[in-house]
Amino acid sequence: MRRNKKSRKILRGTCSVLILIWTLFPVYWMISLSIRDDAELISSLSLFPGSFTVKHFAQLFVRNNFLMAIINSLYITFTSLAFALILGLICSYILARARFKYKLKGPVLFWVLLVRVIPPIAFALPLYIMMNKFSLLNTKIPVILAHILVNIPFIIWYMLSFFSGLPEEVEESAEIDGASDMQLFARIVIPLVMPGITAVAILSFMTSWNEYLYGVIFVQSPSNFTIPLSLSTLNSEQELAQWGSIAAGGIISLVPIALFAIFAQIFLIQGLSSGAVKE
Amino acid sequence: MDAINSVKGAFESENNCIIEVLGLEASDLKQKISLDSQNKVGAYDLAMADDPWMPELYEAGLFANLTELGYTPDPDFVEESLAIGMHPYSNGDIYTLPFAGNVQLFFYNQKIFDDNNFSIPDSWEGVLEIAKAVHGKDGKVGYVIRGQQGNPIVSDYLPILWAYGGNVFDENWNVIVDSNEAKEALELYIELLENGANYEKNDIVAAVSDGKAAMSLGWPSWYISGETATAAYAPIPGKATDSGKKYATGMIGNWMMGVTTNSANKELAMKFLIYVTSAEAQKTAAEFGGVPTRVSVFTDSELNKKYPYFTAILEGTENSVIRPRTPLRTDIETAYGAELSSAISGTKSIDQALADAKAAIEAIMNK
Amino acid sequence: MKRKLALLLIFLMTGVLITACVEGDKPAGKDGSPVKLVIAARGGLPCGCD
Repeated sequence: MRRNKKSRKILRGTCSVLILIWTLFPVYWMISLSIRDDAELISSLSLFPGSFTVKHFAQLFVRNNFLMAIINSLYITFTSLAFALILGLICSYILARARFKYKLKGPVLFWVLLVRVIPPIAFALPLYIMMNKFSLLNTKIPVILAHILVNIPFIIWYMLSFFSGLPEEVEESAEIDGASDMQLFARIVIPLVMPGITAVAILSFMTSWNEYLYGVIFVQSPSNFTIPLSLSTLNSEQELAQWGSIAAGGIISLVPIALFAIFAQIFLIQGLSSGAVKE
Repeated sequence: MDAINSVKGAFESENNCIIEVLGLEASDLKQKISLDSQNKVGAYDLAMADDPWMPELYEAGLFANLTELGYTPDPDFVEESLAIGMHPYSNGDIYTLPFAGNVQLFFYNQKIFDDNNFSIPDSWEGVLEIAKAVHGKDGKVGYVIRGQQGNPIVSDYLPILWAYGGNVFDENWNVIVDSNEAKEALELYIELLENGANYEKNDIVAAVSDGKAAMSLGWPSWYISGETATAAYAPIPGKATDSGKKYATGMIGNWMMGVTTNSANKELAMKFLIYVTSAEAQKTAAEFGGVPTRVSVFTDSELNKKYPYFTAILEGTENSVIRPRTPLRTDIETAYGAELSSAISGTKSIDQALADAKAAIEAIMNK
Repeated sequence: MKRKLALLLIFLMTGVLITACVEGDKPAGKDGSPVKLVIAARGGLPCGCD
């Protein structure tokens, strides 16, 4: 019996280690590629770097104006995320709680889902034409709007189960205590679903941060380049891939996501521990 | 892109304008300029384009007619490069000017050649002999082909087909990919693979540069940057056998630049185009990795000392062949590439693969 | 609630419009200000082909 337990422990340990290697190795590989010099990169690669250089990082900033791309990416991601969260959460709450005339709730929800299900390229061209008509194309607005467009349906559907899972008694008692609709939403409901919001915010952040298709179609000026766009020029079908610079750019672009996720985790745990109803 | 930025300053101050360069990945570039051509007033005044895209872009009316805008051709451009800028090809009006010179070259590892006292082969028979001699010794690879479906295998095989006197179309646009010459060329190609390997471009360059493989074809920028080259190079052999007839085999791949039809500043844009392709600008740009398209710059003695590969590119360009001028190029390349690929992998016989390729290309042309 | 939502929406839209105006197309070439030429070019390495 004891032995069985021990062997299970060992098995579990090996499995975790394997999974850990499986998930972390790409990150390690990227870091190790980014610090090798060019000569090593084009010869046969060993598991551990044999040279050390920060040239690739420096080159990104000097030659590819990477700082600009980082600022643009941050600006686009945070603006679109803020809009998408505000609009998405409100919509989601209403869709979870309100009753609709003519049984419209089902069709509306389905319609929202469609935006997410239809391949993005289907939207890209009509949007391009619209944005062009409004002569918005040489601004960041089309990209921001497109990111909001992709993220809102996701937020609505993700949060729907959180909102409808809330015990209605809480809202009722708040109403009896004299809370207005807005107070109810902002003070009572939102804190209760904070873990959900955090999770959906991290996911939306990633979607927007890594988004390439809308970026490449809408961005018309080098001053509006985002990180994925900037990195794509380093890895062309026609040219040799510049592994060092790509890896360095990948690492830099990883940092904000990691920071955001760590920061958001605080809310993930906080939300879980707040008991609302005594059962 | 660095090349443009290096020369734009003087033009900006002289003409009171700002020049903004939007650097894009090649396929994104094509997508964007095509999209933008639908707009009444375009976002771009000038656009760069890869030479195989030209028929398609000309048909789409993307570029303004420079001849109508008053441009007269400059004989200093390499003739083969300037011809790409004309629509119809080589005798029509000028729509674009050659911005960057580029032609496929034959790359080899100097050390392997020195160790075995090989001289640069001038026929494909000779290439095969060297491949046979090198292959398998100390784990070395003879000749590396780039046999991935689509563009890679087609670009890699066409120079050999041309050396054998074959082609994709004859002068009346009949598909002749299954000619006897084509069969011989494909046979040789497969033999090269048997005495070599089939790699992706990054690995090809690493292998030949490192001395793991002896020879390959390739684009100059893969091996050469500025004053350093990681492998030795020569124009692509133009003969099938040592005693055979010599054909032009350098696949040309110039980057062209033109004024867009929907530009709001056509005159100024053309002025810049002329400026950026001038001998003066090309000389400056060469320091930033630009490759010229003018004979006078190619043969400039000072530049030649610094960038010895200019001579090889000029020679290659003067003996270059243009890929079939049809807007259907992409589809043809895909179909042709798939059949070539099944021939080298052995899933189809050479006859079968080439017959199927012919049928597929004809179907595309008749659409 | 409805009123507040409407207000919020109006607020957001104004934000968008203001950004649009600030960032939007600045007419060039008038009043002696420089004309802008935009070139769509290959990024990364200066030269290459497929």
